[in-house]
Amino acid sequence: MPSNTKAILANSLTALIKTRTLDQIKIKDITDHCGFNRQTFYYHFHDIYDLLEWIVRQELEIILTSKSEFKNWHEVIKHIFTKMIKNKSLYRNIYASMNITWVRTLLEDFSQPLVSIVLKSYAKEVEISSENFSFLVEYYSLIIMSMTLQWLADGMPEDRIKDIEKYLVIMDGSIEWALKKFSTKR
Amino acid sequence: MRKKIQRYGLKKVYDYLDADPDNNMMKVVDWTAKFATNKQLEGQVNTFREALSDPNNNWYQLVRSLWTDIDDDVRKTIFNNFVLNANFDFIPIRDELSEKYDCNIPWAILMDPTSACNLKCTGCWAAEYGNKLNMSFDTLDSIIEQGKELGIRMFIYSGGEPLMRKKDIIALCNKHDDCAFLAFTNGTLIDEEFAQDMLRVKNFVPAISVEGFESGTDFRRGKGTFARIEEAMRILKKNRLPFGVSCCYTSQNVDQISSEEYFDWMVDMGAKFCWFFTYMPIGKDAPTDLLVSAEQREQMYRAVRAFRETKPLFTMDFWNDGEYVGGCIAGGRNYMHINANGDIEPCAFIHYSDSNIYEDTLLEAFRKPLFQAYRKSQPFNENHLRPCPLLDNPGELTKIVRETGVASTDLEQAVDVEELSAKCEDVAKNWAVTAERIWSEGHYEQNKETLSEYHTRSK
Repeated sequence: MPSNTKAILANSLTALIKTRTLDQIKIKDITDHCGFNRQTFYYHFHDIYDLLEWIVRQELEIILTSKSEFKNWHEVIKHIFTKMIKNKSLYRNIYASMNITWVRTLLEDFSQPLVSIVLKSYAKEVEISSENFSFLVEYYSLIIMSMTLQWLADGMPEDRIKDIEKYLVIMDGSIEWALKKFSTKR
Repeated sequence: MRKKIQRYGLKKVYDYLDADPDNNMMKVVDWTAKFATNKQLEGQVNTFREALSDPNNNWYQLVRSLWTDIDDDVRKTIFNNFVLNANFDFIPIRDELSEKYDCNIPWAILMDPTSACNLKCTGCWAAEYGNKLNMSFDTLDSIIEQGKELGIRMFIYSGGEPLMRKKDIIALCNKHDDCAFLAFTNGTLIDEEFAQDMLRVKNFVPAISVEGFESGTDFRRGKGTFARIEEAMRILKKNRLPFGVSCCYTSQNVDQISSEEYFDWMVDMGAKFCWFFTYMPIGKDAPTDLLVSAEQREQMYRAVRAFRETKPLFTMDFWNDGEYVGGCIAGGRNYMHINANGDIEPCAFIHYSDSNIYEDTLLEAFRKPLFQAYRKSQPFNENHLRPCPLLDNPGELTKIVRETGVASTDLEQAVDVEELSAKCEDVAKNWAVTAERIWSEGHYEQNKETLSEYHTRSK
């Protein structure tokens, strides 16, 4: 029942946020929408941001665990962006009203594991210290994060998704070189 | 600004301690010593230093056990919410507001979510309440919100059995994640699921009521209760959750409760603190034969002090430890009570009120005649071993109630204050003799400074 209750609350917030901004939504509006009482909301979440974070993490988790269905990581990234556009009002609101540290942490939480998987696939034949490997993960995550933040700041334009490909092409081309550069054996 | 730096400093000290408690404990004490600017503090730091430099010392063991026995995140949250928010940040706000509004601003709010209880204990007023009263989630939430406006971050539940409202209690902990919550509970409703909830919210600490060993506990609380309490403690200990014990000593169980065996049992079960209460004949038909005699109260006084030197357990005996807190702490001086009917009372044991949470704000209640009368009359006795306006100074409560004309809020049946106070006359008289003897053994000198306030007021 707990996870189901959470999902019901999440659906209500997702619905409400389509017609008004985050600061116009009170917890009571969410619980009225789904017929729960306030204590049910607070039993599961600290506040509205806590619920937002849960929604985002749920979405990302679904995408990251189903990654095998994608041909390559470019597709994963593009898929995430497309998913975000589907829930545009939610992400626009998150970007507008949340503090940037929180947004960054969230982005980091999805970009780092993704980048790590990509680098590992390239690094099969390269010997590299874990320290250097972590550095490269951080480096490439920063690019993805900045790219995403910029896109959010510009209002999540749909036509920009094809430009993302350009970032990824450069990253693809440089990964092999970077891994070699930082490998134990030169 | 200075405040901010100090707060930041405290956080850093915690992190430092957290990294290597064994080696860094002493360094922290030494470091604190350098900041102790007045003589009184210096003395305290020295006592502390002595205790923490010896791994065999009971205080060293208690502090150390917070690292070995308690979940890391829970310990950190308690430090933040209790040490920093509820104490360090609160004190200056309280000083400012109590001057501004000329009233007491309590450190903690004690409230009863419900008058319902799953046990029926002899002499407990909750057991006698026929009509089951509840404060809704929204009412409790509003009390907390109002308290937070006044800087308060410490909230305590009693009842009734507060855990009859488990989900609401967890929801409130979750919503107010900057506050520390404690509950006086009979413990029988603590199960694995609740322990998982406690680990999730991290800011809830139960104080489980025990009346001594199986015979003593089951005598008052019903057969099988002791076994259920031990089970609750095992669940808490297994999940590395902090908890304490709450003991009401009576003429029947005082020998058990003051025994070394009993203190050892509490420590073994994993309790970190114990609150002691003496039995009070609250309610119209409450028996008086459970009241402790002066000899028994002294026995408790001696036991608590003796074990403070040897057992890794933080103890507080509210009727005998007045010397550490300047006497009576009720009437909003450090705490007050809101019953399940919403009546705002000076103390859990004093069921008289001139305000109700459905009609008055907290601040309004603090400024009304009853709380103001407490403020003017505290301490009720210059001997801090006689702090209570009912049990130790029965005339004091009568005077306040008569002067302010407040109503009885006993949920069972209205109790006339003179009738109630009369029940305590004899024990108060007997205790006065004993208390004067103990007090003359040196407490007066030690408390001279805090007492000057009392004398100024008496003039």
